Amino acid sequence: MNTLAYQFLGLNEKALAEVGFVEIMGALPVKSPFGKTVATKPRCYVRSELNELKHYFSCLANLLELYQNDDLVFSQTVMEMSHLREVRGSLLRLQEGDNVLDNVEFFELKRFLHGASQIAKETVLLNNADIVLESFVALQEALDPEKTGVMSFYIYEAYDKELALLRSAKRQIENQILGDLDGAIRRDLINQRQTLVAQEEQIEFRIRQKLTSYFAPYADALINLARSLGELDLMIAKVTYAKSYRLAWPSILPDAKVMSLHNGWLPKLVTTGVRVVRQSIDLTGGSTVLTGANMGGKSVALKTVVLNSLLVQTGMPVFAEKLQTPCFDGILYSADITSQMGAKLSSFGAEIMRLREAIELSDAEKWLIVLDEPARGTNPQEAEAIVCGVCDWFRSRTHFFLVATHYNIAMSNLTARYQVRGLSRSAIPECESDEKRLFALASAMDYRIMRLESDEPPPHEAFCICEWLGLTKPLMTKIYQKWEQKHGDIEH
Amino acid sequence: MIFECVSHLPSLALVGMAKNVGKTTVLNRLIYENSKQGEAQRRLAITSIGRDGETTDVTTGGEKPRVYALPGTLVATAKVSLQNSDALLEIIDDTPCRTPFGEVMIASVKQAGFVELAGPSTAKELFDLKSQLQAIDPKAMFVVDGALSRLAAAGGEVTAGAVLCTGAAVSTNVEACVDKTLAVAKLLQCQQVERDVLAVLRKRFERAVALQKEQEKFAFTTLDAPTLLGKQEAVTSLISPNTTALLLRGAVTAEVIRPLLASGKLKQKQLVIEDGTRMFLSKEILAQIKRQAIEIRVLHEIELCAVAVNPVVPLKATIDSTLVVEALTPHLNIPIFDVGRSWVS
Repeated sequence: MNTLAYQFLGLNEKALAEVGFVEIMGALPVKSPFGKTVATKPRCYVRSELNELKHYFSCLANLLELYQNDDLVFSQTVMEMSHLREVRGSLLRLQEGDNVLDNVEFFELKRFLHGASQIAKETVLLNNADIVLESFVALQEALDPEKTGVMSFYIYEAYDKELALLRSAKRQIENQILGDLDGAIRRDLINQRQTLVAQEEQIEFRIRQKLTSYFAPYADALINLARSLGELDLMIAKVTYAKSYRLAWPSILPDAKVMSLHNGWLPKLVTTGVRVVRQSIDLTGGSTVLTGANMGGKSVALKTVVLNSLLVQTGMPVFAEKLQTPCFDGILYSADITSQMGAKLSSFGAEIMRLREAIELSDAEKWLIVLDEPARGTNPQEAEAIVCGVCDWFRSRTHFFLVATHYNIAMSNLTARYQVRGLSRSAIPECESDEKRLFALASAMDYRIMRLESDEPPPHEAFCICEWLGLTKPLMTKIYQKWEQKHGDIEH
Repeated sequence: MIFECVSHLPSLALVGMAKNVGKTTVLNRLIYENSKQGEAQRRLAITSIGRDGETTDVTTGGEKPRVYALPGTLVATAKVSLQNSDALLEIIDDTPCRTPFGEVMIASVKQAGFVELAGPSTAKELFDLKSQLQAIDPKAMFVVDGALSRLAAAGGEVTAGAVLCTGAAVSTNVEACVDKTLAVAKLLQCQQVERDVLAVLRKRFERAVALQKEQEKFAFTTLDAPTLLGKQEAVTSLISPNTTALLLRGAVTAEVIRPLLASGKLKQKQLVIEDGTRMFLSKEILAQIKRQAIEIRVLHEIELCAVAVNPVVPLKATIDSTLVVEALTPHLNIPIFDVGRSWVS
């Protein structure tokens, strides 16, 4: 994994949260602490790792098929996964070298090794997932010197003859302590026992030291085992998650010129109870503009594109009926601008800095660059020129540049242009509360996006929304007069 | 034999009225007497509410008796306390319960020795732990070492029975010690509400519920709040002349009860609390309750099996435990043990 992948191809935590990626990864039904770690920082593949990503998806497809044919294998493995407990703290202590593990740590390691060995028996599952779980029989035997197969642990007498003798002597005293004795004799016996306890603790410490030294050379391999278990846990979680939510698996085409999203949606909206509209869009290298009414769902459409691309590159099922896509070198999304730049720059300044980053990306690479209403915070005439210029600049580039804007960008500067269908021209209903007004507005809004082939100017839906949200008639008359004085007649 | 008083129970709380009232001595005595039962011996599964069983008293710095566990006993205690124990412990399971001393683990005593107990601190964790231990051995007796205040905080219905531990640590004045002990013992012995009322109230989880019985049918008004404190007026307003019983969930303190008594609205009605550990009232207030003919009942009855009186505290203050035992006996029809007289800790 390269640095870029670790940063999720250029997206920071705020952007990941905003598109709903963090929530989705948190909802994956991983069972083990190792799976939870991998789900928090999943591997993100870039274009140069396309073959690995395709192989990963083919493994997931195999697992899905296995799940559909034999879910018992899955449920057994999931159960074993849920029994796995955190041992990486102890493994790191082993790696450090100067620690001696305690009894609880050996108990946990014993159960960890047992759990891993049980999962390793599911060879069909592991082959399908292309995951190898190393076996550590010698270590398991070291923690079960009496070969009972019981998953408990203490420092067994079998480790040391001296320990066995000492405990036997101690047991005799302990039996006497239980007799009906007067206080003085009893206290004396307790003191005798205490002396033996001190010796016992020394021997036990020596044994734990030996066991720790025996385990230490395996620390790296055991950490790898935990990671592999985490990877397997995550793969199983992805497959069961995809099945539960009826998600699709993407097609990744190495040299695809088009990213074709069919009926994609933003799962975040489903949980908020908002009406979810599925969007379809074809993006190509060059620049694509999405225009449309305020509150018309432009931002949601952009997020749907970003989220699904991100899911593809992290080997996840997608929230769409179908998605064909190339593998990108990275994704830039404008939502994360302010947090990256901090308080030193205005939001406009920060946007421009980020834009420069996008402009400076090499033409040898292929990025998905998504900007939501860039330059909205500055003088509109200049802003329009900026957006127009940037679109024109990206028009002939390899990157897939998608921008939502209210500005009228001529087709000559673009590769494609989309528009939210927007408000229906029905009469505005009388509403007694803001809540009802908003509901009526949402009902009248057609959130679907459509491709435009001509240079139509964006609709003047800001005025409509002013009316829907209850600006008074005299004020609206004034607003229309001002517009007409400057731009001529408007249809309303 | 204190064990005879509790041997029939599935679960038992050792309720200490204060620190250093000899809970550990009682527990050791139970373990010892149990070991002499031959075939009637029970497997004990011991834990505490919070941390207990340290070798020194945190407040006085003096040496404290430690729990001496025998082979076969199940011990549920935090990781750090496992390391502070010198019994040979076979670790057999972990639990989801986290404490400031680490996760609570379950161990079986392989060879006798001292154990430090640091168990869960909430009712839910205690219940879950009880289930986990009883899954390991369904016949095991679950024994919780718990101060009254901690038991009250954890909530009721934790155990079927209790042994109340009292003594010089409560008061070195015999009369005061007896009064305080009797007050708590009487509350712990409170009777359960009638079955039909219980059936209704068990399903109500609000902080206060006023119940009326109209033509053989129950009706109720309720108040929900995080605590009863500050809600006394609202609670009082729930009570109508037709109210037959008022349920108060959570700790019922003098502050909570005074406005209710002042209003006189609860006269000759039932005051229902979760269990006998939930009420902290002085002798005077209890007398006032009696004068108003208010009957205290509980949702979960605890069988108070015995009282144990410890005559000493670590700083050497003592009480004549014989006098305490003599004064308690006519008021309580349960065995009362003098910890100092007959037991070696």
